[in-house]
Amino acid sequence: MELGSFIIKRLSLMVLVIFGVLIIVFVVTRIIPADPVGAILGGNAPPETVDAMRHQLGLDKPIFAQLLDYLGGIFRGNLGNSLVSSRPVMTDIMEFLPATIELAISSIIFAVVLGIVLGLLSAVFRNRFIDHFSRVFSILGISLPGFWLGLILILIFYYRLGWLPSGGQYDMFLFPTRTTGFILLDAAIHGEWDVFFNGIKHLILPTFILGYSSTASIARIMRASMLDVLHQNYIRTARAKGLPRKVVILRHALKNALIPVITIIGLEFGGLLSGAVLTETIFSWPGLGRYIVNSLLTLDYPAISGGTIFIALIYSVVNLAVDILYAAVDPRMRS
Amino acid sequence: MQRRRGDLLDVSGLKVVFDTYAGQVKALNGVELWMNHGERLGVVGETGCGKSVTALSVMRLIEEPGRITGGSILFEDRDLVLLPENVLNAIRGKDIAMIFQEPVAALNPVMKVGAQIVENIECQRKSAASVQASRKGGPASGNRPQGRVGVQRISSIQIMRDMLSHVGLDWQRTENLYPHELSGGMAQRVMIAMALSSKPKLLIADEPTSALDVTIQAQILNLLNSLVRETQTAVLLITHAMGVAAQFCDFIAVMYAGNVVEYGSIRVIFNNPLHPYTKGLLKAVPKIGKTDELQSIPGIVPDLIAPPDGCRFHPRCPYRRPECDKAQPRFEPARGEAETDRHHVACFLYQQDQ
Repeated sequence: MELGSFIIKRLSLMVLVIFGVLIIVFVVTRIIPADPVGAILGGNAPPETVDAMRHQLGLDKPIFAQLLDYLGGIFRGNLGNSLVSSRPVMTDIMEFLPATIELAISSIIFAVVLGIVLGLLSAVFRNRFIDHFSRVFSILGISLPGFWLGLILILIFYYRLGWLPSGGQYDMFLFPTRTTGFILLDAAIHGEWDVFFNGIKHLILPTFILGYSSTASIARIMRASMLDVLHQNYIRTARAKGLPRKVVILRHALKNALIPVITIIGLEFGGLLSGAVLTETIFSWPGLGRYIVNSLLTLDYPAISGGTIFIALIYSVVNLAVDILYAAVDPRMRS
Repeated sequence: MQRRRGDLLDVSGLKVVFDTYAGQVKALNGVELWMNHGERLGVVGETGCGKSVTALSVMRLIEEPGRITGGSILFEDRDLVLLPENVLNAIRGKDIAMIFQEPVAALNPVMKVGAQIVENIECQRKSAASVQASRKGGPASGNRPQGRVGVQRISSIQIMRDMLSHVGLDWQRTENLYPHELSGGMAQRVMIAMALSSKPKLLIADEPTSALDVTIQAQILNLLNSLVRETQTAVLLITHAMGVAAQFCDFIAVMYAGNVVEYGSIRVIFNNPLHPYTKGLLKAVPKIGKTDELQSIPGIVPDLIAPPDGCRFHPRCPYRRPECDKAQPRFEPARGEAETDRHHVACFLYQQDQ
């Protein structure tokens, strides 16, 4: 019952956060000294055309009126039309979003599973080979820039070895049936297993590049947290019961050690979304990150705002989920 | 091999060191103590004298960087120092159970307390089953009828509830609580319920009341007293309070800087203390009705990385003799006392060959 009111409280807070993000993004895109009309028409358009264009796009109204128009549109599920393609921004985002979500989910799963396993082994076998290996692996993950490592891995696994594709979501000679927009999900629904495994193959490198630094952070936190927990009194109690070491570690230590790790998973997810912009560019991934980058280059205001709002929305939802998970794992958080 | 002294527990010559960056801490320097079934032995001494290390050694729970470097811990017919981990696990919790100083911290914060007690009961049931099976020569799980496990689990829950009521807690309210929802006294009751749920032969209580309010201390001691009397469980009570030991125990081992310096029945330790440290310790206990100044032992507890040569107490000892810093005094029976008092002392003042 406490969990229910906790969720409602967090949800209403989330609405406020999204609203704030909306206003900030809107204002920032309007005050940067660049003119989208100039970007569309080119520098040599006659002034009448420029004015007509400006009026057509609603850019001649005061900024406050523009904001009200925009907010009004959002409540009706309308994020405006792209200044470049005139397509509704919502339609575009719905097309690009699934690819990003797919990549982000696979990266966070990769990072959480590998990070926790490495951190756990590292702590349990402290100063042994696996510990040294995991610590070197983590240091590299935190210090190597993803775009560089991405190119190196493409060089090795695509160019030299030919084991993995260099980019894209699936091979271009495949024509998957689309229902939800999520490639793997659609392929599984329609039983198109060739597409499914092709999609998996395409996911491997981007997942690794996007998830590597999160894996490293999670492994480091997990190791420190596990070492701390293993010295707690209740672990001594568990050993005094005569429980085998494996049970002491997995039943008593693991759950306690996960508490600080859960906190950083939410934060890492934020980093993952911003990292997606670069990773998607390197791997020609048709996702939201690449959409936002392209919109920035053409000063496509509604597209930039719309994309940013969705990123903020995803981030808030994930952090809400993390907080709920936190309360579920740690009974002390519920009271 | 010397004569066996206690039929439940006989610790002799126990040495434990901790390797630290500052040097090797010689925490236990040949501890001697023993007890029979159903007896209560109090281990008293100042903070840092090795009481808790002794208790943890008996459970073989000394962790890195500590290790046992010598001596033996005979428990019934086995030397715990030599046993492998899996055999120890069958003894821990089942034959020897332990309760700790800070009961709330000793319970897993993310597990309901009822579940933690049930876990202990199930663990002991499993190890008992595997011991039985290995005696018969068959696998533990062989031909077990379906559904047995569920029945056993229900009976474990029943035992847990009985134990909670036994230690004065309302099981309906308590079993689903988490440790942070308990007071210190309640948590120690839960720990006692857990420790005694497997009917151990020996209960090690490491300062079980030191972290509790004074009024709760008495309640917990009385509870412990009545429970172990019912079941005839032997208790090794670690405490720094002479008064608590005097109330609760049959025998006392006085520890100083990693050694048991004097051992004997309550009667001889309080009426006829021999070791200068024991005498000093008893003078430092305030007595009602006496107004003279409370005596303290001059000096401080030695650094165990570089302990004093010979008797570790000699720098603080008012009866120091020339031989005291040369060699460690032997732990020997005191002369002229009844054998049932088991009076032993490690001090050159009473060395018999002089």
